[in-house]
Amino acid sequence: MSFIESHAVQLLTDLPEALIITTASGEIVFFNDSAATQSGFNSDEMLGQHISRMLPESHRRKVNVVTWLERWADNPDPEQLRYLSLAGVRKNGDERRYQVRVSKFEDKADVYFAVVLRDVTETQELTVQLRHAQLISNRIIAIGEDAVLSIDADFKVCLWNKKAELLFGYTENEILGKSIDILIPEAFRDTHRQNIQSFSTDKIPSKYMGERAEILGLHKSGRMIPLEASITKTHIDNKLIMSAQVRDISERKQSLKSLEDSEARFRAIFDHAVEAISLLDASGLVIEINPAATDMLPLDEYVKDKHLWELTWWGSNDSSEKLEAEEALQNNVMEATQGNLVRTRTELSTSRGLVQIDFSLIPVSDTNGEVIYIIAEARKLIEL
Amino acid sequence: MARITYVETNGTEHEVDVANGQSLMAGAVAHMIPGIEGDCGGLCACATCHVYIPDAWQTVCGEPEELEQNILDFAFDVDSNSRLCCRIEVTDELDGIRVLMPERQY
Repeated sequence: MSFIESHAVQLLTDLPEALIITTASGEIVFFNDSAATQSGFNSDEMLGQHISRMLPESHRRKVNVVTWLERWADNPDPEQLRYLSLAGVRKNGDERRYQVRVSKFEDKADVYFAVVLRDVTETQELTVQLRHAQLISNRIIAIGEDAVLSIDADFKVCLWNKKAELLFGYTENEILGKSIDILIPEAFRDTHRQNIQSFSTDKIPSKYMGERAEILGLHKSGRMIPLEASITKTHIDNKLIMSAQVRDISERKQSLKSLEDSEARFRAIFDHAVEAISLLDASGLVIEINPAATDMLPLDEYVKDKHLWELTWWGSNDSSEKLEAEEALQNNVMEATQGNLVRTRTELSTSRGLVQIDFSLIPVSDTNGEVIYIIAEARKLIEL
Repeated sequence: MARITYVETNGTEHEVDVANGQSLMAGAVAHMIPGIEGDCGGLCACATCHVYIPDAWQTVCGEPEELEQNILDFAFDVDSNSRLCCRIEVTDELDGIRVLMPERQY
């Protein structure tokens, strides 16, 4: 008798894997120490019991354990068992998930099943949690307002979301595995590659929109698209993946251009008007003042964020008269705040002396009828 | 190409286009549809792509083979119209099908 044969029972009892041997009908005839540790049942309790005591049938799953043992003993294909697990129960009632392997052996006319159980509860729960987290992330990427794409170390596209499809015109099937070059106008391809190459090796993990210069993309149709991108890189198993969130900034550029044009037109009028004009907010604070108006002020007077009546123009050098003039102006501004046009003649103390002016306060309302600006306009009548 | 509607147990519907030749499971996984796991990748070995096929579509989907029937034993809440959708290949004939998902795959 060999050493193994003489110690076989002890070896099986001490085996680090949980091992249970049953008859063809599922009656337990051997229950090793690991099985006891794993299940909470001891060997004495389980010998003679049916295997379904540990692997109970569920009202929600039809599987019959003995049928299962027979089936898999006949087809012990490890690939087929890879993901299969059975619901089990510990002595204390805890539900567990067991991965089960089974082999069949015969002793004379009797058939036995050797069942190895591995408790995979925690691993399986973790896997499910990870899958769910991944599902959420993936769905967020899928609906993202920015195009999201990834490339591998060979610059081949390996991830492509719906927005990327809309932005560049290529479907996922068309682009996966293709070089990122096709998304860049030919004239910029070399520079773009050099930039990516340099990012792939530098120590910064991510670069954000705004930190990077605008780039030009190429739509499938040949149209150029001004783009902004945040990029990040991950090394997984020494494989580099670089990902980008890409935003089409055509509309933003167009809006900016319109704003700049509009501002230029406004400035042309405002800065070159002969009349003194100041734009006030609804409380009378000076927001803008034109050169014709500042010309009238003593040099270096800071006017922004002051109320119009606080400027040095108003009234004479006599302090009581000045106060009176300031109060009158403040009242007029309040009148304009109510939406009323105010028009007066007054004296203004300018850098060139007193001038008589035709002075207007014109309220400007928003679409709800609320006053948002007041235009103060002074037209010189006679220089005294 | 067929337009497939995957319906979660809570009633959420996911209507997607799946190319002919793909399985219903692969279509669901590609479109990141919650509730269909497809752990084994389509080997008919894990019972995590269990769905219910409405009666009107039973003929088009065909009968499950023995292997699929065996594996279905491991799925939860199996009914007479249960199928593992990795075993159902998409064709034009499936255009418009609604498949219902079980409450759980694990």
